Amino acid sequence: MSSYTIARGTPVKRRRRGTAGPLMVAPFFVLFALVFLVPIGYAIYLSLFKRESSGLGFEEPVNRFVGLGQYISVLSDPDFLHSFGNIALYALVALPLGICLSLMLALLLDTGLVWAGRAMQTLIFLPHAIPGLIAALIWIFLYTPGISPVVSAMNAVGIRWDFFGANEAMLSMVNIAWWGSVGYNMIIFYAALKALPTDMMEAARLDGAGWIRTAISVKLPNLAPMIVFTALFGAIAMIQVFSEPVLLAEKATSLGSAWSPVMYIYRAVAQRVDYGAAAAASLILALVAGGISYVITKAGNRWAAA
Amino acid sequence: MKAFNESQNKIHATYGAIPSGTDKNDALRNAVTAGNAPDVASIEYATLPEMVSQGTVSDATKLLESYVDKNVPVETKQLVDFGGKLWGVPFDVAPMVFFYRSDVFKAAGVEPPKTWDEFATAAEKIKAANPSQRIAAYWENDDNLFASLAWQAGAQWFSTEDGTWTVNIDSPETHKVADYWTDLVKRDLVRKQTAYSPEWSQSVAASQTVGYISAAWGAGGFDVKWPDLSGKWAIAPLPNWGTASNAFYGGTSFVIPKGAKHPEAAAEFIKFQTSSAEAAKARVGALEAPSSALPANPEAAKVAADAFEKDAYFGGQDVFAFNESQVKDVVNPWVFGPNASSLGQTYRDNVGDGIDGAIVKMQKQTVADLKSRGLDVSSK
Repeated sequence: MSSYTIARGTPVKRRRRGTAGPLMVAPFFVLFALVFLVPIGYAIYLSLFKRESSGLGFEEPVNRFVGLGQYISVLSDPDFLHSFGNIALYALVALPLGICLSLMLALLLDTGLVWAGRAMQTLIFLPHAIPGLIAALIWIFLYTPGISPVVSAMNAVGIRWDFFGANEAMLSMVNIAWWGSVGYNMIIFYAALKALPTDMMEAARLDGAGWIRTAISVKLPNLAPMIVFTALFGAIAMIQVFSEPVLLAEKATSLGSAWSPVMYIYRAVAQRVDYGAAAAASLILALVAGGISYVITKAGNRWAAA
Repeated sequence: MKAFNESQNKIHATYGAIPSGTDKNDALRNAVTAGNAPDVASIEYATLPEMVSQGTVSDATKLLESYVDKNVPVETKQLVDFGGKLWGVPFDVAPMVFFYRSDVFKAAGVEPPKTWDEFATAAEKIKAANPSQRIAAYWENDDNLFASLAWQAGAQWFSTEDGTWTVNIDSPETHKVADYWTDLVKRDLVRKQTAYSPEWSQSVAASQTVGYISAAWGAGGFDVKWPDLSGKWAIAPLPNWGTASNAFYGGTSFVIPKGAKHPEAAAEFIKFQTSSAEAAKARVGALEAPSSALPANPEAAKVAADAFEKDAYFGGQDVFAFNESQVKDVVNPWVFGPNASSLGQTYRDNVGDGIDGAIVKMQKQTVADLKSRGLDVSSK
């Protein structure tokens, strides 16, 4: 706090810079360093090495320094590049769908025309309250022929849809994704809508706008920053998707073991025990995620300001 | 554990459990890397060479070689003895067997098949007698089962003559097995399901899957999973390709991990586990999950056989005696490769597009993998 003069002209004594502030924030930084910075440093260190054996391989493998060798081998591995393609496609389908759906629901609820609005809100949010892993497991049961009542019902009316097929597996995953996230995004949009100044709504009504016109031309543009926000969080979540494809891949074998980048990283550790490659891939993934966040934020802000 | 601690008071053993569902090899490897290795661990034969090549297992030649030579038949010893050193002690032998519903087979007028051709015919008859029944489930995602079936057919996926690895996964015998099962699935004679999954278990309980290809250790689980079907099952030798042949499916060995703090005590514990009468009785007497694993040591096997009480489940058939009779047909030699995990994963990733294609990919990927790890490889 620096010195300032009150209107009366009497200078206030300059406050000494207290130690209370930094002391209170210190625990966060300690934890941040331990849990975040140190592991990143270690990962960078690990990514410079490669384990090698010789002969029949029954002696202990040695760690060899390879510099950027792991990065090169990971970037030239088609499996790794495919994994980015996969989640790009997945995000392109799931993200717009999820955001549009939650927007529509939020706008609908905001008009107050919905019967039992409060109850509806809770119902829509409920799926999000279920831990993602449990939801994925139950969805997989619902997809499995022989156990699922849904599949039996579909078969009874003659619809043959293989949820685990090569072409259908991605849609099955998109289904799990939006089912869990629509409620969450809807709450965010709804809160933002409720925060809009009421005189703006009144003005719109006075100008003769029906509720649809109000929604599209008045509310939506004001929600633009929120949409960018949810798109950003959605993209970051999707780039790291792991548990759903892993669970699904047990039954939908076409997905393979490296469908998403995190799966590729996990496989590098769990099966190849190649810590260096896993570390290199993780750092590359973090950079890509950072890049995507930057792009979304920049472009989004420009759109929101327009 | 209790039996060991009661039998002597020089060494006290404590039990460390790994939560089920966790890959126990992963957990072991992490423990060794972190310096928290347990003194004794169990590793399945299929993944033992891989764990050794990752530096997780310590050389047990000095401590246990004379014991193994005395107590374990030489065909089983080859699964734990390679690269010129002994890496562990075999716990059980796991010859494959075919469990089948004796009541369903009798009603359909089918004899337990002796060859794979007869198996296909039997499959047709069972399906004809009852359209919702299938003779067995085909586990597309079980790479261990596929490897064992290839082993039975005479394939030699790996061998280590003159100090280099020879990789021969893409071989006529392997393709023979692949084509046979692809054909059965195409003709809808076997149910395609995920190994050990709830839907498989349920289809067995509902009498829709009436046969089960497994190994000696499979018998113990029946009463636990399907108690209502007691007395309706029997065991038959696995169908073969014309001449008697068999393979191991599963089976575990005890090892001393690298960095174990008490290797001599560990060796004593392993000797107790694999050969003493008390240990055998304790394992079989476990009320919740009686083990039907056939100990490699013939004397321990005898004790276990006497203690096993689930023969009534199989219509009075002497389970242990039967399992023992199957061991002699196991094809020799057979070597598991140093890349079991990624080999299995490649199989699972590609089998959906057809096993034949998967086999070719497995061959290519194994050779590339081993070379990139710095191992000496020659491929046929």
